[in-house]
Amino acid sequence: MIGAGIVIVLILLSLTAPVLSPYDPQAQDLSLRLQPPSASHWLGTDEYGRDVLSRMLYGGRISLSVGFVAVGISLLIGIMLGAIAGYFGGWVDQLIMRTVDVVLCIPTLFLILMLIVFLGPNLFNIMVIIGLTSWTELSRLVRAEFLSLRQRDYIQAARALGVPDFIIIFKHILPNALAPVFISATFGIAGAILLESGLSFLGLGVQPPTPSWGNILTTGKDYITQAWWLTLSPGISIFLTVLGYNLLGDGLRDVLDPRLSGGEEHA
Amino acid sequence: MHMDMNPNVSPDSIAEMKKMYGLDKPIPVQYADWVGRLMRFDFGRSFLDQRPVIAKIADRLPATLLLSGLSLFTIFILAIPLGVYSAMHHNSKKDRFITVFTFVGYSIPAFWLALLCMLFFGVILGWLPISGMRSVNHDMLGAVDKFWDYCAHLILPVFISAFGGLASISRYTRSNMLEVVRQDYIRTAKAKGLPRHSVYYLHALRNALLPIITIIGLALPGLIGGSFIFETIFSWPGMGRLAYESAMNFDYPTIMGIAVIGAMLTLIGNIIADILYAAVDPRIRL
Amino acid sequence: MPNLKLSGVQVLFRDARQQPVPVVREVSFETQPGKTLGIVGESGSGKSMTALSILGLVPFPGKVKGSIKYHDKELIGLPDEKYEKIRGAGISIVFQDPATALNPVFTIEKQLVETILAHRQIETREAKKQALDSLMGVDIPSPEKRIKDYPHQFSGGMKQRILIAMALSCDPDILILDEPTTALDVTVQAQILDMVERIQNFNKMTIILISHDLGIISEISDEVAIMYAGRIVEHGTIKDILDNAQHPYTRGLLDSIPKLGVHKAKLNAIGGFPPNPSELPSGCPFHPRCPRKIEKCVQQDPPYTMNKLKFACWNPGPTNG
Ligand SMILES: Nc1ncnc2c1ncn2[C@@H]1O[C@H](COP(=O)(O)OP(=O)(O)OP(=O)(O)O)[C@@H](O)[C@H]1O
Ligand SMILES: [Mg+2]
Repeated sequence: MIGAGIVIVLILLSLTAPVLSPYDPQAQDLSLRLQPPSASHWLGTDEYGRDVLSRMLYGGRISLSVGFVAVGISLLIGIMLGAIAGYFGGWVDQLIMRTVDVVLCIPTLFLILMLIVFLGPNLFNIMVIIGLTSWTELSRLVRAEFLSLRQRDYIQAARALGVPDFIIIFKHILPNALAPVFISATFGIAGAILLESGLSFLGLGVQPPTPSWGNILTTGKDYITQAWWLTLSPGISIFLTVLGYNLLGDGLRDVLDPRLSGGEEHA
Repeated sequence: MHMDMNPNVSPDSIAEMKKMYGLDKPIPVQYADWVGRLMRFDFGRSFLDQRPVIAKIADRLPATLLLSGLSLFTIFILAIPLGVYSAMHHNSKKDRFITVFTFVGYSIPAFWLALLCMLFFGVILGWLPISGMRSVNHDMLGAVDKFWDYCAHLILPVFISAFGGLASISRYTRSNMLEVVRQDYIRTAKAKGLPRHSVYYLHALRNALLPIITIIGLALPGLIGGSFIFETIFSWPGMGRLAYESAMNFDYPTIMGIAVIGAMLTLIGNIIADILYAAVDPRIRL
Repeated sequence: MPNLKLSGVQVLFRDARQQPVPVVREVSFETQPGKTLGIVGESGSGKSMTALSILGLVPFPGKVKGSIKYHDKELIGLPDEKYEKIRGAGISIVFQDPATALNPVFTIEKQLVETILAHRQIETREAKKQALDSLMGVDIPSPEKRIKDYPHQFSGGMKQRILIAMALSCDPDILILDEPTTALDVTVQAQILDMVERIQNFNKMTIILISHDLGIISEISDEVAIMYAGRIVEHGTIKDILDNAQHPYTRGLLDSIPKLGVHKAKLNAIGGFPPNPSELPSGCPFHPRCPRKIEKCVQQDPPYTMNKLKFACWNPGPTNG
């Protein structure tokens, strides 16, 4: 699986970024401004003479942490609310699902923009905000799984025997509902990384001088006619990362949930 | 709020502003007032230039509607044939090629693609304008040239903002087609001796389109929300760019107004999708 | 003169290990104008696949081998454009489940008219008239009103009549009915079979009637072919089969026909289940369930006897006792 390969390589790269980086990502050297790629600076330097490769490696750590933390938060909220809605049904379900409808109605990016303005743009807030605005799909998914699993005989039997709801939800239903959640979370990481880089690109995400692929690209945009490498490296990195998670998600879907992949056809 | 932290604002003017925005009243009253005003589209005045927010939005809305409408249209006319084609050549080389394209489409950061296109078509080739809605000399052009000027300015923004949707809708069309093609009524259509094209483009596609209509309704918030990225990149004078400018200037009333209008547009879009759905599915009566 | 002749027809799929799986094996029969051939077998015996192979509609990875001749014209390998001319006009089929066989988004009229227009060079107005006539032929009440309705507005029995009307709208000389009544209740079943028989008396078409119920088949068939595990195991006139069946499987089916006054006859008078086509037993595939099994049955698949009554059995006999 290409997807898994890309993802593993990226995780390793960002874990070992401090070791691999040839330079301090913040170290400026104004005598070396906007140098094209060379033997000493593989990916060239930026407008302050900082080494782009080192900044890219550290930027990768940011992307990765945004992906995981944001999806972690949305998993937490999505699973909780979806499980409660699907398991208990009735007015609880109605309340939660109507809330989801309302949240879905506000264009997510405007919501994010609003929250960023209120909370201020920085790495921590971005992770939380992306997490807070991306749980709706997951909660629907979990709810649907719960609705169908709840009808199964063994769950009905457990309920009749008086097993506490809490135990039924976490021990008996959740493990069986995890496959689609897992798949969706993988796609979610791709989405979160894309979103963070977009926001950082527009100056609403991770703030310089902290390197992130998005804000390196902003510099790339400003110097697009003079320094193509500043546009190319972050763009390709974001693309490959997001592609990797999307491919991984697709591969997982084929493995975990065969009924979702395309079927055959009449000749 | 951020103005409390801004050392350049004097305490007097803070008090004055608090009064102006009703911040001196008790919180529940403030909240009720605020919701009531939102309902009446009274979003107050912009912090930035004191103009009524609704007027600022009204100025910018047509440009956004134009851009989103055209993107939606582009998605429709390109993605659906692509998905159908891919489904009809299921598991062939062509299908795999389209699948690769759709994965690239999902994964490529649209703002980066925008940069590359601006560089290539705008700077290197010089074929297309890369920012704004009209050229500097627009007012001096004749009617026909004016029209072409608009078109030229629209091409890149429309293409870029349609790109992501293109990939996902064509993928979705493909999987829907594959699902529909397995249905009994498709087998009936073949057994009746209908030619292949009417089996696929009439019988299968009509059924595969039903969920696509809903999906497009659901995709609308993304498109409208995404406008703030694309409009900012292309300096498109729409609501999305207004949102960005307001965010950069902490202009809360304007952002709030834009979010409400955005939600309203989404609602309208969903209602239209529901009506369309009912129009193509005879099992549903409004 | 037979109008349809199958010789050694095979339908092959592949399993997960890419091994060929025959779901129809060596099926041969002929049909005559004005006559009805019944095909009987348990679920999974390959009845529908045989029917689909005649129309060239075996689903995608499946392969058809052997020979299928329609008026001396070989159908296997016929390109789609030519096959389309035969489907619906020469050979028609009505499928198992009327509930899902009509396209939900088009009116009945549209679905009838497009069939007629696919085969006849006539004007739409004329085709609409013919569509209406075909609905009258299948006893739909007030057809001129109902023709503008959508499938979901009809009951199952009515849908099946519409499907029959559609199948008959271009005067095919062969009509395949794949369990046309299984999804319907008993009174509707009888009405529909009566109607089909009436039409056949009038237009002398061939009917291939597929069912798992030998009782239904025996009511209107002239000949019966019994299928087991993808193969025809016994084939003869209805009289021969009813009075003189030699194959123990046919006997089992006969014994399971509910008789007058005897309620709740067990449908499956034969114990056990039919084999999975990817794991056929050695020798005669019926031997694990056969009450007349002898040693040879385990080793070799029996060939056909070449009598008037054709059957494939090493130890035939008129009883299973
Ligand atoms: N698309 C397919 N791929 C592989 N095997 C298939 C496919 N479709 C059907 N089969 C197999 O072919 C065999 C024959 O199926 P067929 O539908 O002809 O049975 P049938 O006699 O019509 O049964 P029923 O009474 O249930 O309709 C079955 O074992 C079935 O599992
Ligand atoms: Mg069948």
